[in-house]
Amino acid sequence: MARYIIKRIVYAMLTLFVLISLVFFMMRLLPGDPFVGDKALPEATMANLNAKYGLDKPLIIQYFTYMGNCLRGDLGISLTYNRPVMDIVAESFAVSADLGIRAIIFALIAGILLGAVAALQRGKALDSFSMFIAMIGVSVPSFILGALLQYFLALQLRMVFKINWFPVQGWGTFAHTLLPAFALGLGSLATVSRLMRTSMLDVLGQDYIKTAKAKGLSQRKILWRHALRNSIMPVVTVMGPTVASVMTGTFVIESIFSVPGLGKYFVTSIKNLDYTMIGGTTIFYGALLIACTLAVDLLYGLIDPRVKLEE
Amino acid sequence: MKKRLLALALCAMMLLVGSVALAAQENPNVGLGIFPGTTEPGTIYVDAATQDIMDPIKQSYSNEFSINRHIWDCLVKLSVDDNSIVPAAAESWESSEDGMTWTFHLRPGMKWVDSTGAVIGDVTANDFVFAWSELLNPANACSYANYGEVFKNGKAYYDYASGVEGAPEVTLDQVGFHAVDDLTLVCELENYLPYFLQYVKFEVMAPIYEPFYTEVGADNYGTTPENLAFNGAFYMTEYVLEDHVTVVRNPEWWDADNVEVQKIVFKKFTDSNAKLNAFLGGEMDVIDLADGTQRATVRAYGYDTPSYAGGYSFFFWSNCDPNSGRDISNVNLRKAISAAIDRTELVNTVYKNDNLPSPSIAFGINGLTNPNGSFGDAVLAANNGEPLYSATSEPEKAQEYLAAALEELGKTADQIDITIMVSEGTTNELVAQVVQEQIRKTLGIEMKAEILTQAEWRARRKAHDFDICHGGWGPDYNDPMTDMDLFETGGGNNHCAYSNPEYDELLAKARVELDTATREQLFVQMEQIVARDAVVIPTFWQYVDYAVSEKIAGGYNRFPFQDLNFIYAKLAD
Repeated sequence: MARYIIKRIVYAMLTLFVLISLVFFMMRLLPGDPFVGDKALPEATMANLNAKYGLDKPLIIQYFTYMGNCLRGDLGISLTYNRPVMDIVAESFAVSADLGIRAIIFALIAGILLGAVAALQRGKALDSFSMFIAMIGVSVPSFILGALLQYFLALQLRMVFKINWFPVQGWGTFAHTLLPAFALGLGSLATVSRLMRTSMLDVLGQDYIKTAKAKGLSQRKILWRHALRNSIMPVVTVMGPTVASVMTGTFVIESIFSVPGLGKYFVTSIKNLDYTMIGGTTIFYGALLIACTLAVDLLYGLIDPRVKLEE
Repeated sequence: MKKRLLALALCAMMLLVGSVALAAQENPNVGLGIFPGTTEPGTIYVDAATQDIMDPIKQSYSNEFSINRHIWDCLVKLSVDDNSIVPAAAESWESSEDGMTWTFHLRPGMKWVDSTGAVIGDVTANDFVFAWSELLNPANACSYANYGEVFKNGKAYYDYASGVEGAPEVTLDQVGFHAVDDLTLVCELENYLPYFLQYVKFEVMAPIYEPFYTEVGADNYGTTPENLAFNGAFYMTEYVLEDHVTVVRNPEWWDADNVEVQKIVFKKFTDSNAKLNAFLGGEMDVIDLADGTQRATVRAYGYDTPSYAGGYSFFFWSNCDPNSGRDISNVNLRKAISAAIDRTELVNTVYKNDNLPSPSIAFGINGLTNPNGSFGDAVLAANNGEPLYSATSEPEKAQEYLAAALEELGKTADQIDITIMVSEGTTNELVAQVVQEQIRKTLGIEMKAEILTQAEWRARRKAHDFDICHGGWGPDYNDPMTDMDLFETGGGNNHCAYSNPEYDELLAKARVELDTATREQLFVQMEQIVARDAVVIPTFWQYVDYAVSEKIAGGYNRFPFQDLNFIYAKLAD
């Protein structure tokens, strides 16, 4: 077990190393200059800016400096915001993670419930209903859903009916989290409920369920102890990448609801050619993704003792 | 008797209505009850799109300057009534006869406060000297460091300190700003600069309290409200990057008695629909409207949306370099395109707002001989009241120019090769499409379009690697020089690579000319040369639509160089 974990961590570090190298060189291939703004700067000022951020040195030297700094946990100073990338990522990730966790909790609870109910009520109205919800969740992109929620549930409710349940945008109170968390979570909810339904149907047809029934176990015990626990595996598998992507925030949802999260930096840093910020966000996201995948692998062992981690 | 009473009552009512209307003159919507604005008493929420940097000397965007002017007092500032220079930290000033030395007398008793509003020190002349020294400190790499170069030896010092090869040694104390005593500041200029006050009003020239700055460190100054000290009408209490900046009324400010607003939240939106929804839903008090469609949405409620001129003049930069081997470097071809473009149609199709087809280049600049009028008026008057560029297409003129161009180039119209370099974005792409169509229709020339990221677009424009590209130019200070020095040979912003000794000579004259009327005429001549040579192909003067909730009754104005100023805003009820 310990060997397996160490091996996985070494692999993770290697992946991260390749990722950082690729990102470093690829972003430097982007055409343009981060300091060429709308108005020209004098040569001496351009030189000072390049010197300040170490961009005046040969690329390969910059690469090694960057790698060295990364090892020490220093992602550099943002070219756009003139402050440490780590601070910006930490501040905005706190917000994205807050929103993301709410979305995931919502997606998991509602998704598992819907999926399980659909499987148990197979072919009945509840099944159709939950699969209809899942279909909407999968097929309606979050930016449309977010915009619709904002327009109807926040704005129109307020303007037409004078009902102030949901703020239009912003961040800070519980009410502010409702619409964005719903919009962010619905896609995952759909995935979870569909997986859950399929897997549950599969499990319900297994021999050990029949055995349990034959033993005279109550329906509730069969469901809780055998069916649910065994059918949850595929859900756990998809949760790794889902958690990573939902927690780092999405550009669209955060910008529709004006949430000060990490999501927008993935886009704006590239637009601004803010090299350190591009690197910082990518490395952070990569590391989180790798960590989540690793966590899922380890979770398997806990949920299903048959999975042997040494292999 | 009854009738008379009725008449009296009616008269009284009319008077009442009339006076209400008068009081609410500045915001015509007050009392409509359509968009009452945010609910928090004394607080206004204002749209400010860029708030990346809060260290005053390192700022470079107009919205950063907007926040800046609420929390710091420069020596002088622009009046919110008429955009003229009025006293701020300096209560008076005088200049020497030759205009080369300026003495500022600071207002006694001004205080520095921190992010809790606690007094931490007195504002002295040294705070300006220190701030400007830091502006010229190469380690800070300030974008607007060249503003410190107006002082005697400013540029020499900056070059020397930056390690420019061959720059002779100059020390900081040789640079032309000195604190004579706590309340007296003397500035010596490098060159004659009739609009010097426009420089000291500029927001990056705000003071910095040295003991505080040294304590937090240059790199940390401005990263959080706790790392800033303020001497303005408000002080900052919150700064959430890419989201909002909150400022609170500073009771220690010298004119605090006249400040009614208790708190301003400068909010940033990345999604313009979200911004509009926030306004409609009563979560914002002032927003810029993204386009004519948004304006129509707000107006559909019977709400009046004003527009304001920020001084942005839009045009196609065109490559005038005769050695570029590009067709567009032919002056007659450029003139043909300029005459073929239908500026009115362009505005009506793409922007659907009050943007004005450009009569000339410089926009938002006051006249020199008539400060109440605009410099544009002077250009118009010199041209017998005719705009330099037609608002609509002039097909006959265009054809004439085209015939001349084709002869000079030895080509036919279908052989002409012009590519519009477009910076990605719906509006930019639409502009290119409309112009392509207009040129095809009028001149029979098929222009290509090349869509690039903004970063690549800027880099290519700087390298003169394009035929034509559409962009805006906003003035930095209120003098025609801010626009007219664009086309100086070798100038950093001369993306057209235009070079004309006659033009350069006029510029050189304008830089030393003491007589206002003569100076104005020099600039007028430059406008005429730009038009004659079709250096750029102007499109429109930008008017930005905005919406103000009924919460703000008046006392604010939007001008070039101060698009947001709510220090003296009056709140309804």
